Amino acid sequence: MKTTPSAARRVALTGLLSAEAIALSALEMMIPPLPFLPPGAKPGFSNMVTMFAAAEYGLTGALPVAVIKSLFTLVTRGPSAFLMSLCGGLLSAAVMCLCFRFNRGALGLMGISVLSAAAHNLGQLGAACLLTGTAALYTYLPALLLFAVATGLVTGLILSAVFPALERQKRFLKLP
Amino acid sequence: MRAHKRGGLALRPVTPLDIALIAVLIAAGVLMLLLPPLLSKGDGALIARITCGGAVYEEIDLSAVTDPYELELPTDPQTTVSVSPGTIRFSRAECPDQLCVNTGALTRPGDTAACLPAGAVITLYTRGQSADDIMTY
Repeated sequence: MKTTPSAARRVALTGLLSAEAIALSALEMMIPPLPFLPPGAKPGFSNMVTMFAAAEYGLTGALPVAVIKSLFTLVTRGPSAFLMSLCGGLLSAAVMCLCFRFNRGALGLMGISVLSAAAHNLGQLGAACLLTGTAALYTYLPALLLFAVATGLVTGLILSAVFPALERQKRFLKLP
Repeated sequence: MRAHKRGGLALRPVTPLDIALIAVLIAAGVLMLLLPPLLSKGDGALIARITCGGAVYEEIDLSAVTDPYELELPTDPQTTVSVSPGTIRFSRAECPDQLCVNTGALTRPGDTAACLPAGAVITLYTRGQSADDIMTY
């Protein structure tokens, strides 16, 4: 592992971003289940932080944030929630990194946000099927897709608003 | 590889492809919601299938239930299912999130409730008219 000053600053930034992702995740958990939504459906605000990390540093930026956020879920909500968060987070991070790398202006921020939200939900559904050993959960698919569009749009909007603030962290840490 | 330049993302907020993508996702979601009831071939009994750890634990004909009763599933954490005429739900569970209990009563074909830590899933379907037609709703 590199020990140059800039590498240390990268680690510090990852720590900051992970903390933000965890804080947003904890905030979401306080939202009570709404009657017309699948229980457990959450806005996914921490996805914004992962998207910022993916936009700045690609996979090496997004993966640690996603994994650390999942580890937080492990500590607070147990192993099943951890598996769901991990599968959703990893798939989402992979999709966003692919989008950021190979996008030639075809997709906008909203599109990438919605795609990563959908990937997150699909990853979670996959984990749920693994946990229950049955594919009967496919009935959740339409709700998850529609929800991904809604949450993707919301988080995309918020991210475009807070992007300068997120970027300021880099300047604070003297990262280019 | 950076996806942005100083002062903001070098991404357009919305592109035509974004709109197309969102439209496709919405259409797919709506179709998946509306189609199954229309395709329902079965006019038979409302069956609740309880799956534990991937194996079918029990199937209950909800339309034949006269008195409500409770069923304790052999899961860890423990879950209890409440069966009533025409409806079924998780009444108690020892999982941390209680999402299964919060799903409430299942009443229509396709309704699903699941307790992931327990590995328990309840799905409702209609037994079709033909003998070998068991997974339609």
